[in-house]
Amino acid sequence: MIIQILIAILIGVLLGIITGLTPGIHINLISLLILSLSPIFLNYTSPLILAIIIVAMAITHTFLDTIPSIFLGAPDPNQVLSVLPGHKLLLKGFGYEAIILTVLGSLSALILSIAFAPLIFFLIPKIYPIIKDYIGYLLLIISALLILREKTSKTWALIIFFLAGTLGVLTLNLYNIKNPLFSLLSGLFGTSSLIISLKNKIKIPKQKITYPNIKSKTAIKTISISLLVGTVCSFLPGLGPSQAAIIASQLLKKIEQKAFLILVGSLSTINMVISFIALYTINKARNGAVIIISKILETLTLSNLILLLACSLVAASIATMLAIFITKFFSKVITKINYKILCLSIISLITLLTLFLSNLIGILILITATFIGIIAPLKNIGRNHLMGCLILPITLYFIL
Amino acid sequence: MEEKTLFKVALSLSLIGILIILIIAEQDTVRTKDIAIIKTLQLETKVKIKGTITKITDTPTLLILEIKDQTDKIKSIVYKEEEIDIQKSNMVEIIGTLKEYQNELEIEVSQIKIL
Repeated sequence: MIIQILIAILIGVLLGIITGLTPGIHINLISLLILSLSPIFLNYTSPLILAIIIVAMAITHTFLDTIPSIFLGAPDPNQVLSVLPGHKLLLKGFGYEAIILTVLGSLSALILSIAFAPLIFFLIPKIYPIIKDYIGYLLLIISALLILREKTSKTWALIIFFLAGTLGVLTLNLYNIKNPLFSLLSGLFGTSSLIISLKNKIKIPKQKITYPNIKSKTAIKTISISLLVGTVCSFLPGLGPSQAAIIASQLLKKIEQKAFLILVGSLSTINMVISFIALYTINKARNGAVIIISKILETLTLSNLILLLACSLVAASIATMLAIFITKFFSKVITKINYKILCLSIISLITLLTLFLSNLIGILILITATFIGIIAPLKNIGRNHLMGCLILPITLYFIL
Repeated sequence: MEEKTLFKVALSLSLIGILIILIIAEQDTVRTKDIAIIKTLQLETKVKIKGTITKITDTPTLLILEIKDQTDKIKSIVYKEEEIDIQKSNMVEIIGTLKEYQNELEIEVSQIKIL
Protein backbone atom coordinates (compact mmCIF):
# COMPACT_ATOMS: atom_id res chain seq x y z
CA MET A 1 0.00 0.00 0.00
CA ILE A 2 2.81 2.44 0.90
CA ILE A 3 4.46 1.77 -2.48
CA GLN A 4 1.14 2.41 -4.26
CA ILE A 5 0.71 5.67 -2.34
CA LEU A 6 4.24 6.83 -3.19
CA ILE A 7 3.76 5.97 -6.87
CA ALA A 8 0.42 7.81 -6.82
CA ILE A 9 2.13 10.89 -5.35
CA LEU A 10 4.84 10.79 -8.02
CA ILE A 11 2.27 10.43 -10.82
CA GLY A 12 0.32 13.30 -9.32
CA VAL A 13 3.46 15.46 -9.12
CA LEU A 14 4.26 14.67 -12.76
CA LEU A 15 0.74 15.67 -13.82
CA GLY A 16 1.05 18.80 -11.66
CA ILE A 17 4.23 19.75 -13.52
CA ILE A 18 2.31 19.58 -16.82
CA THR A 19 -0.69 21.54 -15.57
CA GLY A 20 1.39 24.03 -13.59
CA LEU A 21 3.77 24.89 -16.40
CA THR A 22 1.39 24.76 -19.38
CA PRO A 23 -0.90 27.78 -19.60
CA GLY A 24 -4.46 26.76 -20.35
CA ILE A 25 -4.11 23.21 -19.04
CA HIS A 26 -5.81 23.25 -15.67
CA ILE A 27 -5.98 20.59 -12.97
CA ASN A 28 -9.77 20.50 -13.47
CA LEU A 29 -9.26 19.24 -17.01
CA ILE A 30 -6.89 16.44 -15.98
CA SER A 31 -9.08 15.59 -12.96
CA LEU A 32 -12.05 15.28 -15.33
CA LEU A 33 -10.03 12.98 -17.57
CA ILE A 34 -9.10 10.83 -14.56
CA LEU A 35 -12.78 10.64 -13.57
CA SER A 36 -13.82 9.70 -17.13
CA LEU A 37 -11.21 6.94 -17.22
CA SER A 38 -11.82 5.82 -13.61
CA PRO A 39 -13.88 2.77 -14.66
CA ILE A 40 -10.71 1.43 -16.34
CA PHE A 41 -8.30 2.54 -13.58
CA LEU A 42 -10.47 1.05 -10.82
CA ASN A 43 -9.82 -2.42 -12.27
CA TYR A 44 -6.20 -2.01 -11.14
CA THR A 45 -6.34 0.30 -8.13
CA SER A 46 -8.60 1.89 -5.50
CA PRO A 47 -10.54 5.21 -5.51
CA LEU A 48 -8.27 6.44 -2.69
CA ILE A 49 -5.17 6.07 -4.89
CA LEU A 50 -6.88 8.08 -7.67
CA ALA A 51 -7.76 10.74 -5.08
CA ILE A 52 -4.10 10.86 -3.96
CA ILE A 53 -3.01 11.40 -7.59
CA ILE A 54 -5.41 14.36 -7.90
CA VAL A 55 -4.33 15.83 -4.55
CA ALA A 56 -0.62 15.56 -5.40
CA MET A 57 -1.30 17.11 -8.82
CA ALA A 58 -3.35 19.95 -7.30
CA ILE A 59 -0.73 20.82 -4.67
CA THR A 60 2.16 20.66 -7.18
CA HIS A 61 0.13 22.88 -9.52
CA THR A 62 -0.21 25.58 -6.85
CA PHE A 63 3.59 25.63 -6.42
CA LEU A 64 4.45 25.73 -10.12
CA ASP A 65 1.71 27.81 -11.74
CA THR A 66 3.40 31.10 -10.87
CA ILE A 67 6.24 30.18 -13.25
CA PRO A 68 4.26 30.65 -16.49
CA SER A 69 2.33 33.50 -14.86
CA ILE A 70 5.46 35.49 -14.19
CA PHE A 71 7.77 34.35 -17.00
CA LEU A 72 5.18 34.20 -19.77
CA GLY A 73 2.55 36.64 -18.52
CA ALA A 74 0.06 33.82 -18.84
CA PRO A 75 -1.62 33.38 -15.46
CA ASP A 76 -4.21 30.87 -14.46
CA PRO A 77 -7.18 32.49 -12.72
CA ASN A 78 -5.67 31.88 -9.27
CA GLN A 79 -2.48 33.67 -10.24
CA VAL A 80 -3.94 36.70 -11.91
CA LEU A 81 -2.71 39.04 -9.23
CA SER A 82 0.79 37.60 -9.20
CA VAL A 83 1.34 38.76 -12.77
CA LEU A 84 1.88 42.45 -12.16
CA PRO A 85 4.34 42.48 -9.23
CA GLY A 86 5.99 39.30 -10.53
CA HIS A 87 6.33 40.75 -14.01
CA LYS A 88 7.81 43.96 -12.60
CA LEU A 89 10.53 41.91 -10.88
CA LEU A 90 11.04 39.86 -14.06
CA LEU A 91 11.59 43.01 -16.13
CA LYS A 92 14.25 44.10 -13.61
CA GLY A 93 15.96 40.69 -13.93
CA PHE A 94 14.64 39.24 -10.65
CA GLY A 95 12.13 36.70 -11.97
CA TYR A 96 13.79 33.90 -9.97
CA GLU A 97 13.34 35.85 -6.75
CA ALA A 98 9.67 36.46 -7.55
CA ILE A 99 9.03 32.72 -7.93
CA ILE A 100 10.93 31.87 -4.72
CA LEU A 101 8.71 34.31 -2.83
CA THR A 102 5.53 32.60 -4.07
CA VAL A 103 6.98 29.15 -3.30
CA LEU A 104 7.90 30.34 0.20
CA GLY A 105 4.29 31.48 0.61
CA SER A 106 2.89 28.17 -0.68
CA LEU A 107 5.09 25.94 1.51
CA SER A 108 4.58 28.00 4.70
CA ALA A 109 0.84 28.16 4.09
CA LEU A 110 0.58 24.40 3.57
CA ILE A 111 2.43 23.63 6.81
CA LEU A 112 0.45 26.24 8.74
CA SER A 113 -2.96 25.17 7.39
CA ILE A 114 -2.25 21.52 8.25
CA ALA A 115 -1.02 22.55 11.72
CA PHE A 116 -4.23 24.54 12.28
CA ALA A 117 -6.43 21.87 10.67
CA PRO A 118 -8.01 20.72 14.00
CA LEU A 119 -9.11 24.30 14.72
CA ILE A 120 -10.40 24.70 11.15
CA PHE A 121 -12.29 21.36 11.48
CA PHE A 122 -14.03 22.84 14.51
CA LEU A 123 -14.72 26.30 13.06
CA ILE A 124 -16.02 25.57 9.55
CA PRO A 125 -19.10 23.53 10.64
CA LYS A 126 -19.90 26.26 13.21
CA ILE A 127 -19.55 29.19 10.80
CA TYR A 128 -21.02 27.69 7.63
CA PRO A 129 -24.63 27.11 8.89
CA ILE A 130 -24.74 30.74 10.06
CA ILE A 131 -23.65 32.21 6.74
CA LYS A 132 -25.02 29.72 4.21
CA ASP A 133 -28.37 31.51 3.76
CA TYR A 134 -26.55 34.77 3.13
CA ILE A 135 -23.86 33.56 0.73
CA GLY A 136 -25.41 35.33 -2.27
CA TYR A 137 -25.60 38.65 -0.40
CA LEU A 138 -22.09 38.19 1.04
CA LEU A 139 -20.69 37.65 -2.45
CA LEU A 140 -22.48 40.78 -3.71
CA ILE A 141 -21.16 42.87 -0.82
CA ILE A 142 -17.59 41.60 -1.26
CA SER A 143 -17.75 42.23 -5.03
CA ALA A 144 -19.15 45.74 -4.42
CA LEU A 145 -16.36 46.49 -1.90
CA LEU A 146 -13.72 45.26 -4.34
CA ILE A 147 -15.18 47.49 -7.07
CA LEU A 148 -15.33 50.49 -4.71
CA ARG A 149 -11.73 49.84 -3.75
CA GLU A 150 -10.63 50.21 -7.39
CA LYS A 151 -8.48 53.35 -7.60
CA THR A 152 -8.35 53.87 -11.38
CA SER A 153 -12.03 53.80 -12.35
CA LYS A 154 -14.87 52.33 -10.34
CA THR A 155 -17.20 52.67 -13.35
CA TRP A 156 -15.00 50.55 -15.56
CA ALA A 157 -14.48 48.03 -12.76
CA LEU A 158 -18.27 47.69 -12.57
CA ILE A 159 -18.62 47.41 -16.35
CA ILE A 160 -15.92 44.73 -16.54
CA PHE A 161 -17.52 42.84 -13.64
CA PHE A 162 -20.90 42.82 -15.40
CA LEU A 163 -19.51 42.01 -18.84
CA ALA A 164 -17.63 39.02 -17.42
CA GLY A 165 -20.62 38.16 -15.22
CA THR A 166 -23.06 38.23 -18.14
CA LEU A 167 -20.77 36.04 -20.20
CA GLY A 168 -20.49 33.65 -17.24
CA VAL A 169 -24.26 33.46 -16.74
CA LEU A 170 -24.86 32.78 -20.45
CA THR A 171 -22.02 30.27 -20.80
CA LEU A 172 -22.83 28.23 -17.71
CA ASN A 173 -26.49 27.94 -18.71
CA LEU A 174 -25.88 26.67 -22.22
CA TYR A 175 -27.03 23.09 -22.49
CA ASN A 176 -25.16 21.90 -25.55
CA ILE A 177 -21.60 22.72 -24.60
CA LYS A 178 -19.05 20.51 -22.85
CA ASN A 179 -16.41 22.00 -20.52
CA PRO A 180 -17.65 25.61 -20.75
CA LEU A 181 -15.35 26.77 -17.94
CA PHE A 182 -12.20 26.01 -19.93
CA SER A 183 -12.99 28.41 -22.79
CA LEU A 184 -14.42 31.00 -20.38
CA LEU A 185 -11.46 31.16 -17.99
CA SER A 186 -8.78 30.62 -20.67
CA GLY A 187 -10.16 33.58 -22.63
CA LEU A 188 -10.59 35.94 -19.67
CA PHE A 189 -7.22 35.22 -18.04
CA GLY A 190 -5.06 33.27 -20.48
CA THR A 191 -5.24 34.42 -24.08
CA SER A 192 -6.08 38.02 -23.14
CA SER A 193 -2.87 38.28 -21.07
CA LEU A 194 -0.84 36.78 -23.90
CA ILE A 195 -2.27 39.25 -26.41
CA ILE A 196 -1.40 42.16 -24.10
CA SER A 197 2.13 40.73 -23.73
CA LEU A 198 2.41 40.59 -27.56
CA LYS A 199 1.11 44.14 -27.93
CA ASN A 200 3.57 45.46 -25.36
CA LYS A 201 6.45 43.73 -27.23
CA ILE A 202 7.98 42.66 -24.00
CA LYS A 203 11.70 41.97 -24.01
CA ILE A 204 12.90 39.97 -21.04
CA PRO A 205 16.29 41.08 -19.68
CA LYS A 206 18.97 38.67 -18.43
CA GLN A 207 17.82 37.09 -15.17
CA LYS A 208 19.88 37.04 -11.97
CA ILE A 209 19.74 34.15 -9.51
CA THR A 210 19.23 36.03 -6.24
CA TYR A 211 17.42 35.14 -3.04
CA PRO A 212 14.69 37.33 -1.56
CA ASN A 213 15.57 39.57 1.34
CA ILE A 214 12.41 39.99 3.42
CA LYS A 215 11.91 40.58 7.13
CA SER A 216 10.65 37.45 8.90
CA LYS A 217 8.12 39.59 10.83
CA THR A 218 6.61 40.73 7.50
CA ALA A 219 6.54 37.19 6.13
CA ILE A 220 4.90 35.75 9.28
CA LYS A 221 2.27 38.53 9.38
CA THR A 222 1.50 38.02 5.67
CA ILE A 223 1.10 34.26 5.94
CA SER A 224 -1.06 34.53 9.10
CA ILE A 225 -3.47 36.96 7.45
CA SER A 226 -3.57 34.80 4.33
CA LEU A 227 -4.54 31.75 6.45
CA LEU A 228 -7.43 33.66 8.02
CA VAL A 229 -8.77 35.19 4.82
CA GLY A 230 -7.97 32.14 2.69
CA THR A 231 -9.93 29.86 5.05
CA VAL A 232 -13.07 32.00 4.87
CA CYS A 233 -12.86 32.49 1.10
CA SER A 234 -12.15 28.82 0.48
CA PHE A 235 -15.52 27.63 1.67
CA LEU A 236 -17.50 30.46 0.09
CA PRO A 237 -18.36 29.57 -3.49
CA GLY A 238 -17.06 31.83 -6.26
CA LEU A 239 -14.35 33.42 -4.12
CA GLY A 240 -10.94 32.21 -5.15
CA PRO A 241 -7.38 33.12 -4.24
CA SER A 242 -7.54 36.32 -6.34
CA GLN A 243 -10.39 37.84 -4.30
CA ALA A 244 -8.84 36.54 -1.07
CA ALA A 245 -5.58 38.31 -2.01
CA ILE A 246 -7.37 41.64 -2.49
CA ILE A 247 -9.22 41.27 0.84
CA ALA A 248 -6.04 40.22 2.66
CA SER A 249 -4.03 43.09 1.17
CA GLN A 250 -6.66 45.48 2.59
CA LEU A 251 -6.13 43.98 6.04
CA LEU A 252 -2.36 44.33 5.67
CA LYS A 253 -2.69 48.04 4.73
CA LYS A 254 0.60 48.98 3.03
CA ILE A 255 1.99 45.81 1.56
CA GLU A 256 5.29 45.71 -0.27
CA GLN A 257 5.59 43.92 -3.59
CA LYS A 258 7.58 41.00 -2.17
CA ALA A 259 5.10 40.37 0.65
CA PHE A 260 2.27 40.48 -1.91
CA LEU A 261 3.94 37.67 -3.87
CA ILE A 262 4.18 35.58 -0.66
CA LEU A 263 0.49 36.33 -0.09
CA VAL A 264 -0.59 35.23 -3.57
CA GLY A 265 1.52 32.05 -3.36
CA SER A 266 0.13 31.14 0.05
CA LEU A 267 -3.53 31.77 -0.85
CA SER A 268 -3.67 29.38 -3.80
CA THR A 269 -2.28 26.56 -1.64
CA ILE A 270 -4.52 27.41 1.34
CA ASN A 271 -7.51 27.37 -1.01
CA MET A 272 -6.70 23.81 -2.01
CA VAL A 273 -6.06 22.48 1.53
CA ILE A 274 -9.12 24.13 3.07
CA SER A 275 -11.24 22.81 0.19
CA PHE A 276 -10.33 19.26 1.27
CA ILE A 277 -11.29 20.09 4.86
CA ALA A 278 -14.56 21.73 3.73
CA LEU A 279 -15.43 18.57 1.79
CA TYR A 280 -15.03 16.51 4.97
CA THR A 281 -16.66 18.92 7.46
CA ILE A 282 -19.58 20.40 5.47
CA ASN A 283 -19.75 18.12 2.41
CA LYS A 284 -19.15 21.05 0.09
CA ALA A 285 -16.63 20.86 -2.74
CA ARG A 286 -15.42 24.35 -3.63
CA ASN A 287 -13.10 23.74 -6.55
CA GLY A 288 -13.07 21.48 -9.59
CA ALA A 289 -10.40 19.04 -8.38
CA VAL A 290 -12.16 18.55 -5.03
CA ILE A 291 -15.51 18.01 -6.78
CA ILE A 292 -13.89 15.21 -8.77
CA ILE A 293 -12.38 13.71 -5.58
CA SER A 294 -15.86 13.76 -3.99
CA LYS A 295 -17.24 11.84 -6.97
CA ILE A 296 -14.43 9.27 -6.98
CA LEU A 297 -14.40 8.68 -3.22
CA GLU A 298 -18.17 9.18 -2.59
CA THR A 299 -17.47 9.24 1.16
CA LEU A 300 -14.43 11.02 2.63
CA THR A 301 -13.55 9.59 6.05
CA LEU A 302 -11.28 11.25 8.61
CA SER A 303 -8.52 8.71 8.00
CA ASN A 304 -8.74 9.36 4.24
CA LEU A 305 -8.52 13.10 4.85
CA ILE A 306 -5.47 12.72 7.12
CA LEU A 307 -3.82 10.55 4.48
CA LEU A 308 -4.59 13.13 1.75
CA LEU A 309 -3.13 15.93 3.89
CA ALA A 310 0.00 13.84 4.57
CA CYS A 311 0.35 13.20 0.83
CA SER A 312 -0.02 16.97 0.26
CA LEU A 313 3.04 17.54 2.48
CA VAL A 314 5.10 14.99 0.54
CA ALA A 315 3.98 16.45 -2.80
CA ALA A 316 4.76 19.96 -1.53
CA SER A 317 8.34 18.99 -0.60
CA ILE A 318 8.93 17.56 -4.07
CA ALA A 319 7.19 20.54 -5.69
CA THR A 320 9.39 23.03 -3.78
CA MET A 321 12.57 21.39 -5.09
CA LEU A 322 11.08 21.20 -8.59
CA ALA A 323 10.06 24.87 -8.51
CA ILE A 324 13.61 25.95 -7.57
CA PHE A 325 15.17 23.75 -10.26
CA ILE A 326 12.69 24.65 -13.03
CA THR A 327 12.85 28.36 -12.23
CA LYS A 328 16.66 28.35 -12.47
CA PHE A 329 16.31 26.63 -15.86
CA PHE A 330 13.64 29.09 -17.04
CA SER A 331 15.74 32.04 -15.87
CA LYS A 332 18.63 30.89 -18.05
CA VAL A 333 16.51 29.96 -21.07
CA ILE A 334 13.87 32.72 -21.17
CA THR A 335 16.10 35.31 -22.79
CA LYS A 336 17.00 32.87 -25.59
CA ILE A 337 13.37 32.18 -26.52
CA ASN A 338 11.53 34.26 -29.08
CA TYR A 339 8.82 35.57 -26.79
CA LYS A 340 6.46 36.40 -29.65
CA ILE A 341 6.59 32.86 -31.05
CA LEU A 342 6.13 31.43 -27.57
CA CYS A 343 3.00 33.53 -26.92
CA LEU A 344 1.54 32.67 -30.33
CA SER A 345 2.20 28.96 -29.73
CA ILE A 346 0.40 29.05 -26.39
CA ILE A 347 -2.56 30.92 -27.89
CA SER A 348 -2.74 28.30 -30.66
CA LEU A 349 -2.59 25.47 -28.12
CA ILE A 350 -5.42 26.96 -26.06
CA THR A 351 -7.51 27.46 -29.21
CA LEU A 352 -7.00 23.87 -30.35
CA LEU A 353 -7.85 22.55 -26.90
CA THR A 354 -11.02 24.65 -26.84
CA LEU A 355 -12.04 23.30 -30.23
CA PHE A 356 -11.42 19.74 -29.05
CA LEU A 357 -13.21 20.16 -25.73
CA SER A 358 -16.07 22.49 -26.58
CA ASN A 359 -16.42 22.74 -30.38
CA LEU A 360 -17.23 25.98 -32.21
CA ILE A 361 -19.41 27.44 -29.47
CA GLY A 362 -16.38 27.12 -27.19
CA ILE A 363 -14.31 29.13 -29.70
CA LEU A 364 -16.96 31.87 -29.71
CA ILE A 365 -16.86 31.98 -25.90
CA LEU A 366 -13.04 31.98 -25.94
CA ILE A 367 -12.92 34.93 -28.37
CA THR A 368 -15.56 36.93 -26.48
CA ALA A 369 -13.87 36.21 -23.15
CA THR A 370 -10.49 37.22 -24.59
CA PHE A 371 -11.83 40.61 -25.67
CA ILE A 372 -13.43 41.21 -22.28
CA GLY A 373 -10.18 40.14 -20.62
CA ILE A 374 -8.20 42.64 -22.72
CA ILE A 375 -10.32 45.61 -21.55
CA ALA A 376 -9.18 45.32 -17.91
CA PRO A 377 -5.43 45.93 -18.43
CA LEU A 378 -6.10 48.53 -21.18
CA LYS A 379 -8.14 50.53 -18.68
CA ASN A 380 -5.65 49.80 -15.86
CA ILE A 381 -8.32 47.96 -13.90
CA GLY A 382 -7.56 44.96 -11.68
CA ARG A 383 -8.17 41.65 -13.44
CA ASN A 384 -9.78 40.27 -10.29
CA HIS A 385 -13.07 41.89 -11.43
CA LEU A 386 -13.16 39.36 -14.28
CA MET A 387 -14.04 36.76 -11.63
CA GLY A 388 -17.51 38.22 -12.01
CA CYS A 389 -17.79 35.43 -14.59
CA LEU A 390 -18.28 33.01 -11.68
CA ILE A 391 -19.41 35.32 -8.87
CA LEU A 392 -22.46 36.67 -10.74
CA PRO A 393 -23.89 33.26 -11.74
CA ILE A 394 -23.29 31.91 -8.22
CA THR A 395 -24.86 34.99 -6.60
CA LEU A 396 -27.92 34.70 -8.84
CA TYR A 397 -28.17 30.99 -8.01
CA PHE A 398 -28.23 31.70 -4.28
CA ILE A 399 -30.44 34.76 -4.34
CA LEU A 400 -33.07 33.79 -6.97
CA MET B 1 -2.32 48.68 -32.96
CA GLU B 2 -2.81 51.77 -30.81
CA GLU B 3 -4.23 51.23 -27.35
CA LYS B 4 -7.34 53.34 -27.98
CA THR B 5 -8.14 51.40 -31.15
CA LEU B 6 -7.54 48.04 -29.45
CA PHE B 7 -9.79 49.11 -26.61
CA LYS B 8 -12.62 50.13 -28.99
CA VAL B 9 -12.25 46.88 -30.95
CA ALA B 10 -12.20 44.79 -27.73
CA LEU B 11 -15.26 46.51 -26.27
CA SER B 12 -17.28 46.31 -29.53
CA LEU B 13 -16.43 42.70 -30.20
CA SER B 14 -17.08 41.60 -26.63
CA LEU B 15 -20.57 43.17 -26.78
CA ILE B 16 -21.23 41.54 -30.17
CA GLY B 17 -19.94 38.20 -28.83
CA ILE B 18 -22.25 38.39 -25.82
CA LEU B 19 -25.19 39.20 -28.09
CA ILE B 20 -24.48 36.22 -30.35
CA ILE B 21 -24.14 33.88 -27.35
CA LEU B 22 -27.42 35.26 -25.99
CA ILE B 23 -29.16 34.42 -29.29
CA ILE B 24 -27.64 30.92 -29.20
CA ALA B 25 -28.75 30.49 -25.58
CA GLU B 26 -32.34 31.37 -26.56
CA GLN B 27 -32.31 28.56 -29.14
CA ASP B 28 -30.47 26.16 -26.88
CA THR B 29 -32.95 23.73 -25.38
CA VAL B 30 -32.91 20.16 -24.29
CA ARG B 31 -35.73 18.00 -25.62
CA THR B 32 -37.29 15.23 -23.58
CA LYS B 33 -36.22 11.81 -24.81
CA ASP B 34 -37.01 8.21 -23.89
CA ILE B 35 -34.51 6.59 -21.54
CA ALA B 36 -33.82 3.85 -24.10
CA ILE B 37 -32.71 6.53 -26.59
CA ILE B 38 -30.74 8.45 -23.93
CA LYS B 39 -28.68 5.30 -23.37
CA THR B 40 -27.49 5.38 -26.98
CA LEU B 41 -26.17 8.94 -26.79
CA GLN B 42 -22.57 10.04 -26.20
CA LEU B 43 -21.32 10.60 -22.69
CA GLU B 44 -21.34 14.19 -21.42
CA THR B 45 -24.51 14.98 -23.46
CA LYS B 46 -27.12 17.11 -21.73
CA VAL B 47 -30.33 15.08 -21.50
CA LYS B 48 -33.92 15.48 -20.30
CA ILE B 49 -36.15 12.63 -19.22
CA LYS B 50 -39.55 12.14 -17.62
CA GLY B 51 -40.29 9.14 -15.48
CA THR B 52 -41.28 7.64 -12.17
CA ILE B 53 -38.95 7.17 -9.24
CA THR B 54 -38.86 3.46 -8.49
CA LYS B 55 -36.03 3.46 -5.94
CA ILE B 56 -34.22 6.04 -3.78
CA THR B 57 -30.82 5.40 -2.17
CA ASP B 58 -29.77 8.03 0.37
CA THR B 59 -26.01 8.56 0.96
CA PRO B 60 -24.32 11.32 3.02
CA THR B 61 -23.62 13.54 0.01
CA LEU B 62 -26.12 12.48 -2.65
CA LEU B 63 -29.37 10.77 -3.56
CA ILE B 64 -29.35 7.97 -6.12
CA LEU B 65 -32.72 7.76 -7.88
CA GLU B 66 -33.80 4.98 -10.18
CA ILE B 67 -36.07 6.53 -12.80
CA LYS B 68 -38.28 4.42 -15.07
CA ASP B 69 -40.27 5.37 -18.15
CA GLN B 70 -42.12 3.24 -20.72
CA THR B 71 -38.91 2.26 -22.47
CA ASP B 72 -36.21 1.63 -19.85
CA LYS B 73 -34.79 2.73 -16.49
CA ILE B 74 -31.67 4.66 -15.46
CA LYS B 75 -29.90 5.83 -12.30
CA SER B 76 -29.85 9.55 -11.60
CA ILE B 77 -27.49 11.22 -9.15
CA VAL B 78 -28.71 14.25 -7.21
CA TYR B 79 -26.12 16.11 -5.09
CA LYS B 80 -27.48 17.27 -1.77
CA GLU B 81 -26.87 20.99 -2.25
CA GLU B 82 -30.37 21.82 -0.95
CA GLU B 83 -33.22 20.02 0.79
CA ILE B 84 -35.26 18.05 -1.76
CA ASP B 85 -38.58 16.50 -0.85
CA ILE B 86 -39.00 13.57 -3.20
CA GLN B 87 -40.44 10.15 -2.63
CA LYS B 88 -40.71 6.84 -4.38
CA SER B 89 -43.46 6.85 -7.05
CA ASN B 90 -43.07 10.60 -7.69
CA MET B 91 -43.30 11.48 -11.39
CA VAL B 92 -40.31 13.72 -12.17
CA GLU B 93 -38.69 15.62 -15.02
CA ILE B 94 -34.91 15.63 -14.90
CA ILE B 95 -32.29 17.59 -16.80
CA GLY B 96 -28.72 16.46 -16.43
CA THR B 97 -25.55 15.14 -18.02
CA LEU B 98 -25.09 11.57 -19.20
CA LYS B 99 -22.17 9.97 -17.39
CA GLU B 100 -20.67 6.54 -16.89
CA TYR B 101 -19.69 5.18 -13.49
CA GLN B 102 -18.41 1.66 -12.92
CA ASN B 103 -19.60 0.57 -16.40
CA GLU B 104 -23.12 1.79 -15.81
CA LEU B 105 -24.79 4.80 -17.44
CA GLU B 106 -26.29 7.40 -15.13
CA ILE B 107 -27.52 10.97 -15.26
CA GLU B 108 -25.85 13.63 -13.13
CA VAL B 109 -28.85 15.81 -12.35
CA SER B 110 -28.65 19.58 -12.67
CA GLN B 111 -32.42 20.24 -12.47
CA ILE B 112 -35.25 18.17 -11.07
CA LYS B 113 -38.95 18.98 -11.13
CA ILE B 114 -41.74 16.99 -9.52
CA LEU B 115 -44.70 16.74 -11.91
